[in-house]
Amino acid sequence: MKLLTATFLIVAVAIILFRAIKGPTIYDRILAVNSAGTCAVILVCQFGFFSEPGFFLDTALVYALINFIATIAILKFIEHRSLA
Amino acid sequence: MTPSTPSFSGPIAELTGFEPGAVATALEWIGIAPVLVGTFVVFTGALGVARFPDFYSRVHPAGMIDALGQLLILGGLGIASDDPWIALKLALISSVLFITAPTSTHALVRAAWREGLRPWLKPGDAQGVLEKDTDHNPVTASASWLVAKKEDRP
Repeated sequence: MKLLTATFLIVAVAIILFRAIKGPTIYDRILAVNSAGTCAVILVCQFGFFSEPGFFLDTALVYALINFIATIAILKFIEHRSLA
Repeated sequence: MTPSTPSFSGPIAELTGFEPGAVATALEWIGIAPVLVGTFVVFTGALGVARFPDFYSRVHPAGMIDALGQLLILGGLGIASDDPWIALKLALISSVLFITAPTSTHALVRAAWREGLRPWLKPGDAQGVLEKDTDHNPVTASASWLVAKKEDRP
């Protein structure tokens, strides 16, 4: 029963990244990478919950914010072909 | 003030492989159920993202991961933690994800719709929608797209 939830989360990230590789349109890839980022935030939270110095949770918070901003920036770049 | 060693024990620590300890508090036994349910939700959501036939249907399991799965897992961890600062940080991360993830999903679907991507429909459903035709209906627009694609075939 060791590492049960973390194993399932890593397998879930692998399945999601399969869709990111295969996806027919660019929006499938963006959706898959966004979901994989959310899974990574959950994984970092699980590892940081049991670790001795508590800064992994701050890492997860920053990763969640960067994930959102990266998704919006990529969408803006695809729609307008520029970031301005 | 901050006890560091008790968070290394308990059923969640045993499940996730972090130094299985001896004593489990009641809150850890309460918090283990949302973590397991959330893991199930995230795993089935990943299967849905991989196997659903359409972009607009793949949005649904992705949104389930973003909203329900992270809320259950981080909420369960926050219930099980004995340090209030860790629970507060987990609540902050969960609320940030709960706000930003549906926003990014909405922006994604809006960009896909404006670019011209239309949902996948069964041919019978498309015919049924087309018979009661209403102009500027997005479902009708998608159905006309699909029927025009069907007419191209011999």
